[in-house]
Amino acid sequence: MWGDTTQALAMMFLFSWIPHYQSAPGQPRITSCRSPEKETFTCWWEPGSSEGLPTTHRLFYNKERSDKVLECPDYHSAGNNSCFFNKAHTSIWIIYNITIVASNANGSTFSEPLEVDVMDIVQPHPPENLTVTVVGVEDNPYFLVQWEAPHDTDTRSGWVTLKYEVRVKLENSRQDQAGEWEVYGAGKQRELSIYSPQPGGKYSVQVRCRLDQGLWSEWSPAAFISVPNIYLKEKSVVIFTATTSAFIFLLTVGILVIKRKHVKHCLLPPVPGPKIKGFDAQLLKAEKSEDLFNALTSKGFPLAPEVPDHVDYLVVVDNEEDPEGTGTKAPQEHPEHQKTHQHSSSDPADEFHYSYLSTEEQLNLIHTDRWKRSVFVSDCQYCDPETTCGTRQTFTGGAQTTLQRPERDEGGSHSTSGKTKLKNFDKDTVSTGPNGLEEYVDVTDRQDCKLKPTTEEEEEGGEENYSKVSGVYCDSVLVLQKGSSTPIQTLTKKNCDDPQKKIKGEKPSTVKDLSNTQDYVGYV
Amino acid sequence: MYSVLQGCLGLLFCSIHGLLGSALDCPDRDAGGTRCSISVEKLLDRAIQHAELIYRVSEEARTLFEQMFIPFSFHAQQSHGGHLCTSNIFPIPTSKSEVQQISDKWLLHSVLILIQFWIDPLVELQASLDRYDNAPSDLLNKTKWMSTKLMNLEQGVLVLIRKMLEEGSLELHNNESVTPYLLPTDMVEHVLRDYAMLSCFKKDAHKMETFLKFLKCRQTNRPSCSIL
Repeated sequence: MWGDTTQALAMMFLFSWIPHYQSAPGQPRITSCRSPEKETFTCWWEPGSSEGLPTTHRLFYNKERSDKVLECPDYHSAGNNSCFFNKAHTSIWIIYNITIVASNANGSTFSEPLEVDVMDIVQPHPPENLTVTVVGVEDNPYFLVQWEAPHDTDTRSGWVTLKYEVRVKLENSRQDQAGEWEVYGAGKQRELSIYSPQPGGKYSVQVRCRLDQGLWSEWSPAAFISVPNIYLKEKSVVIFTATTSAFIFLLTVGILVIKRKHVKHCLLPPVPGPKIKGFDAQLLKAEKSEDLFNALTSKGFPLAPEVPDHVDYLVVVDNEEDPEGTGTKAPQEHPEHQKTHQHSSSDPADEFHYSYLSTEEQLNLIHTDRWKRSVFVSDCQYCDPETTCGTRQTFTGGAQTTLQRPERDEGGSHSTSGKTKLKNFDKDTVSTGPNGLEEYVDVTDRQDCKLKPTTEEEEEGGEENYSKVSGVYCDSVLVLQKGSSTPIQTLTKKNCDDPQKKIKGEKPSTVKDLSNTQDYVGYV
Repeated sequence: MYSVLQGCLGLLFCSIHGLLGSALDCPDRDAGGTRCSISVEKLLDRAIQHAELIYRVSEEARTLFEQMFIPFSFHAQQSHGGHLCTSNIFPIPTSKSEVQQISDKWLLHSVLILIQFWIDPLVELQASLDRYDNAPSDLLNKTKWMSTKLMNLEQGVLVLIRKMLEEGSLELHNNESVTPYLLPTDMVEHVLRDYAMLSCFKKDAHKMETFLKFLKCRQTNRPSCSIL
């Protein structure tokens, strides 16, 4: 018994020592079979353990419904451990039964059989000539991806139908991890447009294809594209514009600040102050009312005409005989007594000569040539038409006499005059002669308006009534008396040659005689 | 006037039919001599579209069935089903070179034969699948759809034959001889038989598609015929 077991053990030990190099090779295995264009196909296998002995592999196949066993026609075209079936040996819609036999010196080993139909093992090569371009740079750039079918596929006869797929990835995404692939189906066409790429982004593009409903090919080698960064361009433009605008704005503000007074004057024009002559705004500011009023009044502001108290007489002279001659004569008659100032009227309508006489009281008389009837004392211009002021009518063509008073304070600007009227010299009234002075007032008393053109009339009342004729010298001199209650004294028989003299001479007498009355001598 | 209206209506009807993708038929209305005219190119395009769709759906159905009912170990044993697929009625070309040698006429006829061969088996397959307990509805819908589309394709091919070859319809009534050949008597299990049928149908659908595409590209003289 003990001997049997030892025998068995020895036998086992012996057998274990026998080298295995005599055994057949390991079983090979077909890894894959592929047809790139449905016209040829290739099968690859991997050999089993070789056991140290040179092993040959052979591929045998048979087609369906045929018992003929055929061997691989081409072992080399597709590399090691491969079998390439060319077009002549490829049939579609027929099942191939393929077996690999690995054989060495000791024996052969069969692989598992594989049944393949070319239709089911179609996997094309990846598409070729992949190009990506950026189109439409301005506003809406987009990718135009173009490729070509793998060169070995026959698309011309309609044998194969290729469908494509494109995938795109953003390389320089913000996150550290790489961007995701975006897959787009392209159908059967050989180009694709991808819109709205990220500006400034760098993309990689790949394409793959498949035949009919077969397996997808490998992805083609990637094509890279960079999108121009329009935002950068826009940004730079924006920055530039902003900087320029800011600069201009600051410049404008600076100018405005510097010239703020000017601007203020422009935008908010100062309210013009009252333009009153003689009105000094400074005085107003000074807030001295007394000075203010004094300033106002000193310029002859209304009222307060300077009426010398001693101006009593009104002398009216008439040069009727020779209008022009006497006009000229009259002043010549008494050159020594008076300062004559002769003006030739430039008024063509009338033949008036203006001259004035200065009396001791500095009474200037300007009289004109003729006057028709009487002397009108009152300045009826200021009267109501209802009053007895029909005098106007007589003024036409008649004599117009203007009295002027030299303004002591002012120059001789008032010596010239236009045609104006007789004025009352009154303390209360103002002389409204020349146009220089503004015609203030006139607060002529109504009493003056009631004056009538009378030569020898009795008094009518009123203190400033010159209607009283105190005397007539000759035919041409009329002395008017300032109205008073005193009766009129008539003077007769005067020496007409020198009326002036007489008047002068008489004056003191008259003054003496009439203390209250005031006579005016007028040259008629 | 009335005939023109009818012709227009006919044209409208045909175009709508084509849009809906239903029947490929454009029956000639000989009323008043007007014909419903769709160009041969467009008819061929429609036929190709149908064939492509049928092939795609058949592959999906087969895959579905395989996942559901076929154990993994059986995947390699396709030969059982494969052997049964081919019909010996007429020789089918097996390579591109062979297909190129076939005339238009024979291509069309081959397509028609194939279509007519499969109309009845598909109906049987559909009935068989309905008897399964846990057949997915998707699978059932697909088979139903395939059956319908195949009949539409038959109509379209008949029209094509009439237009391109200008001959009467050539109906093959040899289904009785084919059907027993197809169904293996030793195949007990329904599953395997159905799987084989689906595989064979897929193959034949691919044949139809290929033939029609070949035909189309022969018609056009353009250098590239990839856009179909």
